[in-house]
Amino acid sequence: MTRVFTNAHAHIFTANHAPDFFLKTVIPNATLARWVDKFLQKDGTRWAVKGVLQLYAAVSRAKRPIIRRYLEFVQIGTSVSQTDIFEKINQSYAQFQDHKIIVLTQVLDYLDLADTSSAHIRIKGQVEEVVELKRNARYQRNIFPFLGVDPRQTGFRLLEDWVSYYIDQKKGFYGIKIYPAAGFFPFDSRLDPLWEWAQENQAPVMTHTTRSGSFYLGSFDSILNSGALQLNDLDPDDALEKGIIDRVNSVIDDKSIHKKNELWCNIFGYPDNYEVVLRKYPDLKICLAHLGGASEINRQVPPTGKCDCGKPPKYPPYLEKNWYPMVLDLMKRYKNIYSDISYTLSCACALDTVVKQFRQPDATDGSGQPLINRLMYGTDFYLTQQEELGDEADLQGLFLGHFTQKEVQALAYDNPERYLRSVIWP
Amino acid sequence: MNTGLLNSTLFTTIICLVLIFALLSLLISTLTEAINSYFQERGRLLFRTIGKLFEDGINVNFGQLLYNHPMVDSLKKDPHSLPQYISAETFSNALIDVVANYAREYQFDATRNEMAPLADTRSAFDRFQAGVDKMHHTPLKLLLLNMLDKARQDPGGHPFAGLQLALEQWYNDQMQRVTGWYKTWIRTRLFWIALVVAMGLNVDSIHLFQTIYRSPDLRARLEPIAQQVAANYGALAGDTTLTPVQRARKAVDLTTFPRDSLHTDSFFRRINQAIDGLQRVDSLLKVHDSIRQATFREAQQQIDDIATLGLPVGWHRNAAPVSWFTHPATRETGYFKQHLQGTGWNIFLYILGIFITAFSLSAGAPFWFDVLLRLVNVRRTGTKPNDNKK
Repeated sequence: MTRVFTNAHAHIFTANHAPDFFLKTVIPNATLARWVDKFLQKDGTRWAVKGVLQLYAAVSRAKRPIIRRYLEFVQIGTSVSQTDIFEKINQSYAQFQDHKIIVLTQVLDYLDLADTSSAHIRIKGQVEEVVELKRNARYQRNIFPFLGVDPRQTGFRLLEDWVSYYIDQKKGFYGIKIYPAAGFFPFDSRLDPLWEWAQENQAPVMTHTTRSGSFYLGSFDSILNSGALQLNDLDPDDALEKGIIDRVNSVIDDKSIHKKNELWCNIFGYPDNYEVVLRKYPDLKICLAHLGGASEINRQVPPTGKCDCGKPPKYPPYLEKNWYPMVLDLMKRYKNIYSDISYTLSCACALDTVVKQFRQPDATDGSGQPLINRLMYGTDFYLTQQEELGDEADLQGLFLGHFTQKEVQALAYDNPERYLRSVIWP
Repeated sequence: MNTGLLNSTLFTTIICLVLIFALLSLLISTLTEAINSYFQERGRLLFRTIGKLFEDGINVNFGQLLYNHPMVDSLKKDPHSLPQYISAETFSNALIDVVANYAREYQFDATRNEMAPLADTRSAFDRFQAGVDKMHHTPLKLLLLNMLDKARQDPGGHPFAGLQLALEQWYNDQMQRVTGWYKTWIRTRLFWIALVVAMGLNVDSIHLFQTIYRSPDLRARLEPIAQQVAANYGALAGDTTLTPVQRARKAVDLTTFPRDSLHTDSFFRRINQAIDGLQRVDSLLKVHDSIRQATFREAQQQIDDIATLGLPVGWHRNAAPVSWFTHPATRETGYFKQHLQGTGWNIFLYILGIFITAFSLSAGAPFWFDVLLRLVNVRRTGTKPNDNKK
């Protein structure tokens, strides 16, 4: 039984690691976007611009998620260094006897393929900064970094020069972080050597499994023309893979959603995409983070009481299948599938549902092991800042208030300890 | 020299107009400085430029990492700000450390229970070389390798100093280009700020010229001030500690403005009240910045100076373009009566006048103060001693 409290899901990248064109997607006029960006990054004028942007978000429903995400960035992400941001979250856990924070670096360089150039390749700098943080005696017992990976990274060998180079005791990284909503499928054949390596070494993988959050920002055509939607490796005679092919084809055919990135980008993160990978690498240790997201949980089990988490959006029929039961199903069928309650726990009613569901007698896997042994505590710091209960202290309070002491021991101590253990970090 | 021309109403009007442009462009310089300092434009440009130096798409961006080096990190005012200036020496020293550290090997030190760098007997120069060797091959790597080769062949036998010098030279060259970009970029910004000021203060150059030309009282009020400002500006020419804008500012500070009409114009009073309001918001938000407070005070002072001149500017019922809507059409002749009418020609002239103001002011304060000094000197040298008695 470990005594180290663990937050399994946090971010510390800064606005300097995000592409310059990030706000251009909210405000198409580049000059105006640049000015809004400048005002947002200053204490003196941030409140006014935030107000205007939130008003704009109220009017423009489609832009709402991306505006919210950008404001989250601005809240903390405009700090110049990752050290400052890590210091902030680290202080939030100072009351625990000992603590670990899994910090997820993220490849933000390919969010718009039409705008991506070598000038936007910033992931290496982001990662090297974290290497230095991990080596800093002040933080090294608290920071547990994961390496951002994107199959579109070029110019070097993804496994030898990136993954196995950084996920190493000398460099200090523990696992892999992928973010398919940025425009790739987890079963992308370029990732196969990584999955094989990760399974062999029991290296943990973290992925984003909600419909909300950042997503690819460029045009649908730029993704289509990149060949990302050609699913030649999938078998149309197999029911699962045919389902994925049909879903992607439906998106290609339905031109009405091609301007709604927050909708069509769902095809990349659908939980059943991971089953294609898991069939090849059944022992791969993946955390399907967020449990599908609060809105999916509320869609599956509508809250009985008051719930201020917003109404779930409407999806076209081919994107309607709920992610929450799909995540649970994968957890039941694959022994190394984990999930976490990060971000989701900022919605108290969704958290109520999760707590009830994981206490049910049928919440076990094929070998009878309770699924709660593969659920982890995490917050998604600092992207939760825009939520009413999004402060780290609020989220800790929600977590400790909803789960029993035994469950807290599992979610915040034992499960992450098991999840992090690998051949590289025994 | 044609003394008739130099003493003509036209020449005096031009001097008065140049004085107004000089004072307004000083206000614009103050506003531009305030905006640039608020948004830390220099710091951002520096960050981008240093980042670009190392952006080859494959290798670790050492420029980005440089900002985490304690020597550079300590130059930050707060977690959200970037250093406004990094000296060439700091750049080369920090960069050598960053690249050399990239080549360091670490291992877990069980006795201290922490990661620690392995003992490394290589010199900083050799570790820098090892850091460069670790890079993927790109033109950037080649550039750094060539610097190392040249440094090794340093005739004085000090390769490390040679490397420092080469890096400093590289940085200085880039910074010169940055200064060029910054100047070009600042000119564009000056124009936009000048346009906002021209519209905000309703400064129509054509109308200003017409009014000064037709108003002996206004010329009599402005001309001595122009002479005083020019004299002060000329006297400060020897002070090399002052930048051109500081020199212009000091010349105006040393000038005595006729304060009798100060704050009689409610338009300017309202502008200064608005600046007071901004200062209050600033202190409410607890954003204490002594430089910004000084800038606020300076801007108020400059507006006061302009207010004392009694110029036909500002937004009034009896001034175009408001008058176009408030004054009924009239057949009365005379420039001042006609100017109040919203005819197509007047509207065209007004828009042209505003743009002339904006373009003129974007030339910058030093330009207008130099012009003023020259014009006043030309008149002084070209005027016969007894001309002034006439």
